[in-house]
Amino acid sequence: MPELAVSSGSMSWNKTGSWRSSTPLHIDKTPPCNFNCPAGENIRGYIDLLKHYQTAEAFELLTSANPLPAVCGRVCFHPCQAHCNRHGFDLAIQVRLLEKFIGDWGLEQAPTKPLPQTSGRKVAVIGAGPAGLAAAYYLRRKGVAVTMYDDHALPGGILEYGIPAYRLEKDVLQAELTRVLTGIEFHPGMKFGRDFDIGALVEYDAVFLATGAHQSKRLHIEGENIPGVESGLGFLQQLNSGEKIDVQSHNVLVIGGGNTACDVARSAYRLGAHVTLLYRRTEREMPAFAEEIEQLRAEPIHCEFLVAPERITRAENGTLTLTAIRMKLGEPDESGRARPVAIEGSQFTLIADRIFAAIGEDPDVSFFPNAQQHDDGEFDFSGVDARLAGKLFVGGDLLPNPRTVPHAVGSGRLAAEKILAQLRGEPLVAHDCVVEVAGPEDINYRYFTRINAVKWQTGLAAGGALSEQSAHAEAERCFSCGVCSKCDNCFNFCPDLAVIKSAGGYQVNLEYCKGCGICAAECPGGSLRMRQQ
Amino acid sequence: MRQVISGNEAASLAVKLARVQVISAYPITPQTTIAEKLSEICGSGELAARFVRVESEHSAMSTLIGAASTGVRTFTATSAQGLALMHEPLFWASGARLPIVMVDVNRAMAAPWTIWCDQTDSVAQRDTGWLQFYCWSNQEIIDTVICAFKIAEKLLVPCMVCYDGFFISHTYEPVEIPEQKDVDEFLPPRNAEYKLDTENPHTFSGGTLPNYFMEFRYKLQRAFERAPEVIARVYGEYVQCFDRTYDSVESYAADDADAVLVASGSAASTVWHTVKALRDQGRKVGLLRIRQLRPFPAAELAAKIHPPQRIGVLDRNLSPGTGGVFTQEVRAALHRDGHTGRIHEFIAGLGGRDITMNNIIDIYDRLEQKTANASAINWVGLNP
Repeated sequence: MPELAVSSGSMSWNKTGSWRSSTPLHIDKTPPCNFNCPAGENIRGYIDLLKHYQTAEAFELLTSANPLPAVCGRVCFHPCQAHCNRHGFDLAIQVRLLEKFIGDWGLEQAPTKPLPQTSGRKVAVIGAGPAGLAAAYYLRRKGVAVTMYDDHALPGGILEYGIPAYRLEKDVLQAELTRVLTGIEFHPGMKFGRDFDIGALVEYDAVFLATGAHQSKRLHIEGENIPGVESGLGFLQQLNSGEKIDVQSHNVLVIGGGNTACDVARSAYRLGAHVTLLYRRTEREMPAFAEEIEQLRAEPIHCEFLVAPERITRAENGTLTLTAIRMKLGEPDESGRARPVAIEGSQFTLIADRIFAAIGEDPDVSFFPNAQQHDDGEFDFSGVDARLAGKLFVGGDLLPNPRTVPHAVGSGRLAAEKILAQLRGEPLVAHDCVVEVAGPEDINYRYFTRINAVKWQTGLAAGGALSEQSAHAEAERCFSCGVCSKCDNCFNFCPDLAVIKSAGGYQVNLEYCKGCGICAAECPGGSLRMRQQ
Repeated sequence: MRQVISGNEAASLAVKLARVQVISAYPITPQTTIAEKLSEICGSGELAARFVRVESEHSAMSTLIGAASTGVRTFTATSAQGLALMHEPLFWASGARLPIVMVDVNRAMAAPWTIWCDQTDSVAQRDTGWLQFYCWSNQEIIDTVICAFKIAEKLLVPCMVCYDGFFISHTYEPVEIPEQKDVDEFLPPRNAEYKLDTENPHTFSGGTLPNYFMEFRYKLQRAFERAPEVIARVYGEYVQCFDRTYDSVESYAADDADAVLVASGSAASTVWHTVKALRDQGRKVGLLRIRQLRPFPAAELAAKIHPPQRIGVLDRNLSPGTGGVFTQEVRAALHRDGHTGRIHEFIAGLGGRDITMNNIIDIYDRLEQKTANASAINWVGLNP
């Protein structure tokens, strides 16, 4: 008899797996950042690479979904951050800074990769904005010859002519465009329907149309066409084209609450104007990105909310008088936002030197006079011309999507995939099939330490950009929501030694797994779950 | 090498010299500086041990039970309520025959709240199946902790090394620190016959039916019965390497004494000084210092008592309703040996109260003048 109570033989005969009533499964969920990225980036994936100081691999992964990381690191509204499970715990992972870090690394250090030989297939891309650029980039990298047309002198579309330089530095844009356009034949100053027509497109295997939305919406009020009343987008285009605009000490009124209105107001302020922004709802309903509104409000720009313009008149000396009416919020309209309702008799006047209308833009599809538009805003070009039948793909602002750069990029990449599938004569393979999004309930928050958000943010972005070290530190905070981070918790906690490490991650030895569920309870990111048998 | 160090530093150094592999401890005064020192030693890489932080003493002991089951050398330290919180896993450690070594820095049990010294915390654990040593100097601590690993591993019984909070734990004394190479020679790595091995899985301490349980208790008792011989042998080896040794009962001028006081811990050193002073005055008084509560050195004690000496026991602990725990043990031991004399029980120094030389002189006076009560507790320095 031994000194202590120990079994005389090995206990491996005791297949405790037979006690099991539920089984642990390693099944990745979709992280909320990835799910909410309009460009379809694998954000968690490149953050994980940054954790391991693999910036080159992170750049590779990021640009496999979005060829414009330096641009998007500056202008994207980053819904990934708004949906980050760390948001509300302490501070969302600052994906914007990480994307900018990777993008800027790419501008400086990305090795030039040889492009594949063109295979003889040819695609025309009309419009050199973010949608067209993304489509062209991915097509060319698959050996398709791409010819790109744009009516402007420079490529970039809204990036070049819409977004002010204080939000997107010109040298950054240029550098990124240079990389994206490598190997692509670009024809500037070519407006579809004016400088070339369908006849010129017949030779292509496919055509990608992404001409954007440049036509400012009309105010539909008296006096909107008198001199001094102009389109906000036109003002930004002039400014971005390098035209001298003198609004020094002018009283400038900006009408609208979107990103264009904010950019116009902030640009005019930078040119020395006294700026008042008029919006018919409240700050809460402004359609501009939260970050842009925050920056607008931080600047000495006067905002008049719940105000709608009624009439504009012009005096002999050129002074403009805007008659406006006060509004109140009523029932929600079809957009879900409270409908502004005029308060009768509340008219008042504002004096101005310049008035910019920026209440939205519409696509101009006059090149296809017989194009149809559905109720949801989607264009139907299927019957425009028999010569383009089955060959025409559209993207960017021609789609009824939110008008954002990442949405445009995502539509361009998707179009490229569709075109490639069609050229190969295969159906499109959906590879981003969403199973389940990992929410806060999937995170084991006890494994994570709260940081002081204010202190952290201040330290992180000192100098406006991340160092490799701070990018690594920021990446380290990622929960890896729903995706196995190979932390070994399941391996370490299993009382039956039933979790086995394998090349791809972990396997469960069902001969011995009792189904106790400790592994799933201790999984920090929620990629392990128990399934009842 | 000789250094002036505290009792807690002596314990920590012994742990380092013993090349302990897993340490788990939860801070409690007056033990805390041991855990601090050990975490430093582990953090700096001086000791290649895993220091496991835990949320309670119960977890500290449970952690060591798991660790020791794999065959590694383990250590923890605690005091008072912390030791009480370990009570349940203490039985597991001994029943599973795991040679865990623990230091208990003696501290009185609250309530009322106290951080000061008495031995009630460790004597209350006498039935948990742990060996218990009581030290009176920092030198004895470093020597005893090193020996404790060897004794525990030979017997497969866990071992507690106890010494008085603050009086010893925080007092600095010159200590001869053994050389690492000598300790390595004296104390080779633990070689566990039974250990958890994932490649060869066995069940340990699983459900045991009435037809076997009693036999495992018998084996544990047998280990304690073998302990005196093993302890003597280990100290015999120790003296060969380090030129220092200790007996389970140490006699100071007791052989020819008319009045003998049995004491342990730091109080014994006050008794020792008092004996020296009284001997100078020609009084025939002596000290028997007890170094173990478990196993209680009954035979060794009986051999050192020579009737008709008057015997007193100084207890710095209280088992309410009975009295001092050492007194009970001495009475039981001597009765077993056929001794019929009266044993006088003195309770002193509870909750950190000083036991002064005047207190001891008073005790010897009462023993010599036969004024000590032989059938009730003699309270020392009490102001009711």
